[in-house]
Amino acid sequence: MPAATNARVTSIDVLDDFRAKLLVYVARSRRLLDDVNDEIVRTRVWLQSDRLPHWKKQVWLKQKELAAADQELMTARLSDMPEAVQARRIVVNKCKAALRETEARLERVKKWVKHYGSAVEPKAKVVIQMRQMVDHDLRKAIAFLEQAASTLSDYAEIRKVGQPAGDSTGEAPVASDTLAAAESNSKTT
Amino acid sequence: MSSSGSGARLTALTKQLEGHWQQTRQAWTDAKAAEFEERFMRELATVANVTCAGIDNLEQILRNLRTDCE
Repeated sequence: MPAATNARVTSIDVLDDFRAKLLVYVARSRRLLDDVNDEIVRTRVWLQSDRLPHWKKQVWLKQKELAAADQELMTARLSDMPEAVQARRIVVNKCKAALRETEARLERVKKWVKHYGSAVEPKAKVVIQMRQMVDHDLRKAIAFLEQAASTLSDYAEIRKVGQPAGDSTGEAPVASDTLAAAESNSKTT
Repeated sequence: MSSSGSGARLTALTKQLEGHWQQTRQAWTDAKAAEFEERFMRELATVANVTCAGIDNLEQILRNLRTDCE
């Protein structure tokens, strides 16, 4: 087989190989971008349907604990037991601190719920843009490579048919020239 | 969080593809190759860079959110 024919076949293979790599890239990046988008949606649902009710309930529980501790402090005061009063006062203070901390948590969750759209969703636009590029532009890129390989292959066939038997001088154009020549050939025919 | 490290993974995927493209470019050197590079590869590199930075930023925000709300 002449060296020039080898060069043409190799170049078509190079285009096909890169097309295969591009297809893998499209599949993997699409999955990755979908995962990011899913995470954005899941986090919003988690915030609204899980975290918000969870911390509301926690505040309610801490309020109940504080009310119970207050009641026990009151009872201790009525029983006139200074040591018990002191111990109950410490419990009440701990309950108040816990309630403040839980209320602060609930406020942070409410703030995230309120600002989620403005803090997170604008960032998601780049993911959507990339997804569009993967879906549209890279699809065109794959078609471009297919067309280039097909044109190159057709031209290699035309040359093989047009070449006299035994002509293996290696004068056929190399891959880079072949495609341009094939295009120009296809325009004139 | 399942999307953690997605920016870095996309960067790695894109760099790998760019490496494959450089190899391809050595064997495909005509005007069509230049057109392909201009139309698709450069645009991809630009958009992927912006996206990777955006995803890193997004992941940092989601980490902060999770710390606040756990």
